[in-house]
Amino acid sequence: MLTEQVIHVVDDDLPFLAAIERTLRSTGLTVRGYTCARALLDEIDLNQPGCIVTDLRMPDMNGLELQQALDKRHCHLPIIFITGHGDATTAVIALKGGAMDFLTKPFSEKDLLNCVAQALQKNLIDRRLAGEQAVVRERYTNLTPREQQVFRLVVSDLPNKLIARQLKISPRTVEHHREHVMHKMQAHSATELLTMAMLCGIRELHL
Amino acid sequence: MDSKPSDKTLDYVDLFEHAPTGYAVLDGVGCIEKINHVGAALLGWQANWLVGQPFSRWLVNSDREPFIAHLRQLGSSAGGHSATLRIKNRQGRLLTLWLQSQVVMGQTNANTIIRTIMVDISGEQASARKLRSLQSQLAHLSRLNTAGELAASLAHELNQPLGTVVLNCDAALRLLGTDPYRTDEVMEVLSQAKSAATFASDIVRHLRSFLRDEDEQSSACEFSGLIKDVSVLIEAEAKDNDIELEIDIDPDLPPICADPVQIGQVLVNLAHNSIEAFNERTCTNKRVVIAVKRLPPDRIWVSVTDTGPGIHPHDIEQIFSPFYTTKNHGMGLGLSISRSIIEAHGGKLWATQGMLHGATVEFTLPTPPTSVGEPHAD
Repeated sequence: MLTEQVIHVVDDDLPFLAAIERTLRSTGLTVRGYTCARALLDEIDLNQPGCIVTDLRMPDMNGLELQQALDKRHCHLPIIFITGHGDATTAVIALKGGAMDFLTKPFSEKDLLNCVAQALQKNLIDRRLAGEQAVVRERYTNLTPREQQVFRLVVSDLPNKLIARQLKISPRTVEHHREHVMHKMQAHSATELLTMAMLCGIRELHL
Repeated sequence: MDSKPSDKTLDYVDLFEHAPTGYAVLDGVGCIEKINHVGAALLGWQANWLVGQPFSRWLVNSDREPFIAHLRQLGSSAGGHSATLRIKNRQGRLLTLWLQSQVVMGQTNANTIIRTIMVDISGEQASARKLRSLQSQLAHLSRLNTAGELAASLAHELNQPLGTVVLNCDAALRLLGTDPYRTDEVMEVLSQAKSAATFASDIVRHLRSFLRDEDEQSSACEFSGLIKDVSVLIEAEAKDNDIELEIDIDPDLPPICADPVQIGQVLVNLAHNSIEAFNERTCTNKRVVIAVKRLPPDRIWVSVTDTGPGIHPHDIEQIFSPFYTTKNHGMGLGLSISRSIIEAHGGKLWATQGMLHGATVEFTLPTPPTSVGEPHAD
């Protein structure tokens, strides 16, 4: 698994791109620079952790379009947008699309490094969550259909008696399935089971 | 004698006295013989006091000569003669009077009389002056308005190099803080900051030459230089709107005789209109082409073409009327001012609908006669 975090920088203004790359490299970070959004889309490895720093206004494909293209490819690297001047409409669109942050030119090295550090931190957390989510999902798919039914009713806060009535089985059988669910999901308490359900959206998806 | 003629005379006296214009009878040397109420009121005195006074008494000093010339002219021509003269009345107010006079020759000089009507045109003169100043203010305002709308994209354009300056200066400071630091690295970073700063100042200089409101004299100027000045503004806006901008200049253009700021204003205006046209409707293939060509023998031809929604046939002449606009915002002055600027330069400006879509606004400008047919030496 790739672990090194890479910062992808996209800006059509060469001197500016060079300055950003220099600043980021000075702190020992790994940087890849691109002069247009297409180049990034062509070259980026979606499994590599990191973040993206991109200019909003570029010929060919602008920052917002890049954001949409990445979203389509299920790439969830945090994106920091660089803008020449604060434009509320664009900012709203970008933030709704999940933008991490905005940097308004001109900004200092400190501003840039702070932003990037936060983005990388967020990416770490995102990846850990995604990893946990994958594990939980995996365990969930290993449950029998009946166990999945019981799981969903348990995390909906229904007592065993009501679950039994709803599934038209005995409370004792419910108890039985429940033990299996706890075991297979590797949950030690009802609360932990609930957390898992929330984490991979089971509770919201099936309620 | 019955009373009827007398009534009629009274009617005429009344008509004379209260005619809606000043009326005076002067003698052969310009002294007042009779003057009606309105005329007397213009001078600020009672009519009976004015009789016998030389009319020139109320004229401002510099207009006494022209008044005498006016009287002389009457003697030599059978018809009437008119003059515009300024007087200072009893209350000290300056008035501009339009005089229309006719002479009635007598047997002797003493019998000669001059009939004069006097109309106060101070109001009209002031309105004409006011109109002129308003027009020039409007031209400036519309320039500022256009510039204001451009300022946002210009801010972006300026922040671009400034962003580079700040990051490079920060890097230089960081490098200098390390011990030992590498001189070549610091120098490289600083020279990059410098070139970015120079780039920013170029943008500002071009903008300034566009914005100043001076009565520039027309002078021989190169169109290519002029385009360079305004293209900074146009390019920034085009880029902001994802529009492809193409500037196509004939390499051997003769110099034109023009006020560069005004022609620059026209160009920015036309390009701005084209760019805005794309906002009215969603368009693909957004392109604006500015072409400049030589039009032998003595003109140059400039066209601004876009691939936008075009101009409605109903609007094609209307768009040149002041305050007529097809946009959701805007004053409707751009094209009317542009046309008057081009016409003042001896050129023509018109609009045409594109073959398939889009619109073209084009104008011609005369080139100074000396350069006709001669290759221009730089």
